[in-house]
Amino acid sequence: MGPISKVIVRVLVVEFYKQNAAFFGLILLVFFGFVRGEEHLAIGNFLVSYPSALFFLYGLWLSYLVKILLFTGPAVFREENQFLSTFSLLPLADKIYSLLVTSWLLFLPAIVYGVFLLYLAATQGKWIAVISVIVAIIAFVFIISLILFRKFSALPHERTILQFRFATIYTRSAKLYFAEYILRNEPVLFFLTKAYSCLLIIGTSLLYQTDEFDLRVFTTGILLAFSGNVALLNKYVIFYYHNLTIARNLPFFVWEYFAFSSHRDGRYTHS
Amino acid sequence: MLRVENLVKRYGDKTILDVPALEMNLGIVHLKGINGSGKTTFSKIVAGLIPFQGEVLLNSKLSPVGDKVAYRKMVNYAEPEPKYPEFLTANDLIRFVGKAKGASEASSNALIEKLGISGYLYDHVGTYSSGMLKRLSLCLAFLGNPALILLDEPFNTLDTSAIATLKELIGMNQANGVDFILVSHQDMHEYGITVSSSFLVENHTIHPL
Repeated sequence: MGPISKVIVRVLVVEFYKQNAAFFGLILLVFFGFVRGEEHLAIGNFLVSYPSALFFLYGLWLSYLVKILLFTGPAVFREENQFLSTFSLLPLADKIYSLLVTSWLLFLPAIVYGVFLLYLAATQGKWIAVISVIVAIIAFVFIISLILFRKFSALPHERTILQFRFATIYTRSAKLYFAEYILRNEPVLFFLTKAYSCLLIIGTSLLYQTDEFDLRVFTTGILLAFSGNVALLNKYVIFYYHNLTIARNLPFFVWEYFAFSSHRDGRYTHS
Repeated sequence: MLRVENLVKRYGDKTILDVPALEMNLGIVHLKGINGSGKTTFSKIVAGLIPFQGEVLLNSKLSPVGDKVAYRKMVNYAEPEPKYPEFLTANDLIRFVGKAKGASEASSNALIEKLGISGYLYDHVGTYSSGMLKRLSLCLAFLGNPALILLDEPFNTLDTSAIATLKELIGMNQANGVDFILVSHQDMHEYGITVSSSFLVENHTIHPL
């Protein structure tokens, strides 16, 4: 891997997997803990036997692609990644190679499952499924590369931070700092994680209306709902360690900091 | 020469810069102004880093909007308070930006030696002091074959030996025809740098001194 790919992979790929470590951990738990080997084979055989069923899998891959883009989009424009603005000056071959490597690595979990399906389909002579999965993998990788290419080419760019005019007329309580930060800087992430968690919990609960399951199904739903919010925890740590380093100098223990509220009568006004 | 026409930069409804017309005969230009006057915003615009309304032309032909790649090859920039991903090393960043700017391996290595970066070249950026970060950002700004280098608060956080090295680098590059815009609230005479012209950023506009 050359110096260009190495840097982009560290900035986008490694950080993506670090931020979503809990999510992937739970996926592994579900796939290799709750689902047994013969069930994997049954699902895989069903998918390759009915190529139209593969579109359900492609739908899941599409939601994974959205997850990738929700991370990579803002990451390209972070202040510490400003040096990436020089990406557009690189030779075309370097740009294409580094983006393809990055896209393959970002999409790797889906590719691994795709290879499993290819093995099943090839051993059973289901050539339509083979072609369909290969085309889908190439198409998804190409789409990620293309979107990243456009992101890099779109520079110069300034991130739009939501402005709440009413929020400037009162002295904020310290409890609201992070809430306001996340709403201003990552509104899409904030609302999507909430929507994802709500839908997952409602969906898991509805299962009990028609079938009898033990608590493991509901627990899995709750764990998956929680995992969707781990990205917010990551943002929380970044906020307090990078954007509000002064907080660590305040004469409070961590738990006291959350209870701390700034006084309301100290607002400075221009004379 | 750097020509600016009808330049407007706003953040939300707050106007930061509104410069109807400006011509800078380059060389070593000192851009002054108090804190918050818009110096860094102007330098980021000239470096092609942030969007703006109006026109900026380098040597009457290159624009950061119309000729993005050619322009950015010619204009380098060192930020006042550099920030880089803490898990990368100086080596990663120098090789990346060096390749983008068309710098040779030998010239990159020479800059690394000159600015005293070799001792921490393979350390993670997260372990650097502010002075080490500043040296790295200056190294990145001198890579390639720029026609114009913008140095924003170049002497902040540098020790005396690094200041002497920076002055030497400015002198050597100027002798090779590279122009500089030094953005600073400080007096350049304090550092023994003779500037060819000075401009002041105030009341949202820029005028010669």
